[in-house]
Amino acid sequence: MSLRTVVEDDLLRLRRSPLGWGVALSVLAPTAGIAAIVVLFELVDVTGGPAAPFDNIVMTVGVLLSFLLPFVAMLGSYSAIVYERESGSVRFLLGLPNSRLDAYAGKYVSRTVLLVVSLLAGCAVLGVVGFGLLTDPNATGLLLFVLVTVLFALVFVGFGIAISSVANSLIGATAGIIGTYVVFRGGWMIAQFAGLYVLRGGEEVAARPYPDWYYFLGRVNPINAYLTVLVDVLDRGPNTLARQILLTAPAPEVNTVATGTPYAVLALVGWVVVVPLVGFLLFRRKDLL
Amino acid sequence: MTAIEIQNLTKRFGTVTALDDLSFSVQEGEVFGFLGPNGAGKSTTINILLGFTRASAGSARVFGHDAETESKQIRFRTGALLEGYGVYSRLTAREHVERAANAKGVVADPDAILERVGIPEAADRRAGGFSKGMRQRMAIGMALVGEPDLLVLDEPSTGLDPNGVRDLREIIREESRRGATVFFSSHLIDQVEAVCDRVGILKDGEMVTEGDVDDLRARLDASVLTVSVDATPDSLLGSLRGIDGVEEVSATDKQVVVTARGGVTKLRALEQIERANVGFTDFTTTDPSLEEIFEEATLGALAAVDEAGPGPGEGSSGGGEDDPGGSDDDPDDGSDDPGNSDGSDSSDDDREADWSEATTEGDA
Repeated sequence: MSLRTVVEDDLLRLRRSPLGWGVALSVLAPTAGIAAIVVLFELVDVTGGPAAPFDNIVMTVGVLLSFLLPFVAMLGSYSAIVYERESGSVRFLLGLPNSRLDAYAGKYVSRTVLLVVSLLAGCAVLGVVGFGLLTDPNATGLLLFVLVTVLFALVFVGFGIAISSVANSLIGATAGIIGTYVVFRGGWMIAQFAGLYVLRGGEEVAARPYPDWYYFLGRVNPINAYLTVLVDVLDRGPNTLARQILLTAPAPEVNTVATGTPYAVLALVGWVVVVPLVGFLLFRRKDLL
Repeated sequence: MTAIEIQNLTKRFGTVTALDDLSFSVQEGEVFGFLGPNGAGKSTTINILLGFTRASAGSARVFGHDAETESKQIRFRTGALLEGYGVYSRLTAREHVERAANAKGVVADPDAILERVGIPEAADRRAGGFSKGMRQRMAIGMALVGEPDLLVLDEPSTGLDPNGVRDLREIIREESRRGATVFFSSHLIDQVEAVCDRVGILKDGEMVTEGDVDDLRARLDASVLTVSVDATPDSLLGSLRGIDGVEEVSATDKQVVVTARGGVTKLRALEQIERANVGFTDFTTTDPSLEEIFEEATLGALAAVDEAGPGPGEGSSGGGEDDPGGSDDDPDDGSDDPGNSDGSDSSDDDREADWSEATTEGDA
């Protein structure tokens, strides 16, 4: 009862806040927005040739989301709890008979609903356009794309809620999500190369092939894991647009468990489970006032 | 039956001790005034009772439920108005009350509740545009949802105009008549005195005195006897000063003013004046106010009485701890916690405005 109350209240306030609409639009832009551009291109007939392959367009959307979704998901959730502490409304939230689990899980669910509903709406538009205009539409590919993208989004909703629950100020939470994004976007790769430098020495650092551990570490990064799955689901060869703009090499020269899709999916599921759990364990006994 | 039982409760924030081995209890049906100067630890005590803050040592129980492990059960039976709350600026007053009813799993009539707290016309207005007094009335309404067995009111008159304060007193009396226990925390003594059966006075995280207001008066007992006479010879004043229990004697042409402890002392003083044949015409006595009791308790005299031993009115456990220490720098009222200010909710509006500009968040 309390969990449902927290979810409903939070969704109601999201619906009335710029944040809710901002997050929804930020998710719709790279999904429905790309679909709109496809429609425009087809109407104008820019290339003069056949329509673009469905998988290429969806892959492009996936690559865009790999940049945007982590930040948007955390932006949509980082203030969920800490703002209530700063504004004082936590005295209502937890002065009423809502347990800390109700509050934490309720916020997680409501922020997930906001993101996933926006994502599904955007993907629905993309699907309609793709099946209507693009070459070789792929229903299974689209379905798997949606599933792994939702999983990817959940990772960062979890980070946002966990950071919001342990931070003592909104500024601290803001620093937390920016730091998290920087770590996964660039810091992770630096850590991998730092490892190579330490183990190989300066001259050999970039020599191919990289050792297995490099991929075990690299593909744990949820962004890399997400792209790994996308490549498996949607990649149609080395000359595709997606291959050209991917930051992570889709086909590494070593073949370990770490470069496979199951490892990537496991990594995503691991982040989805572990991060909110750790956040709640820290939040459970925290002094909130 | 005990509604609130606090035993040896200690709370430390780093090196600062906010509550120091605090013990007291509140019986069911009582209206208990929890008094103390700013920074005494009142809000920290309430925060522990409602599960916002964990105790460093000791225990707090409400209706037999442990405040740390059974907080949700406690809050099902409690209506709380907590100092430093912030409203959900995008929800209406009706939605705030409905939110409280939903969380408690009860059916409530928001219109009737808002009528009771005096803001029926604001039911469908968003709380972000409310004045401080309207916010306070709405928060009181939320606390009343579900006819709670315990009302915890922390500085409930903040922001209320005199009519609001009077309405609040009436609501507390009605809730008390209904059978609810009321825990009324304030540093405004007149308001506590107007509604409370019993008070506890907290200082530096310790309960320096506790008991019925009348009993505390009796314990302080330094009431003023003013006697109207035709003359005030020095010999009379000297003999009055010699009576055991008389603390101070002063006089004008037609009045003798005697500050005395105990009814027997005052009677002896009156007899002395009558025997002196100075034209006795009338007399009045003035009992100490709760404010004087508060001053004595927090500035020393009554605390010293407690340290000497419990007085006749001390009915409950734990009053008058003689453990020195504590701190006058209670984070409970610290300025570094924006949500826990010292009795003023004036920062709420400013803060919300600031954040709505600084972020895209609003109140979400």
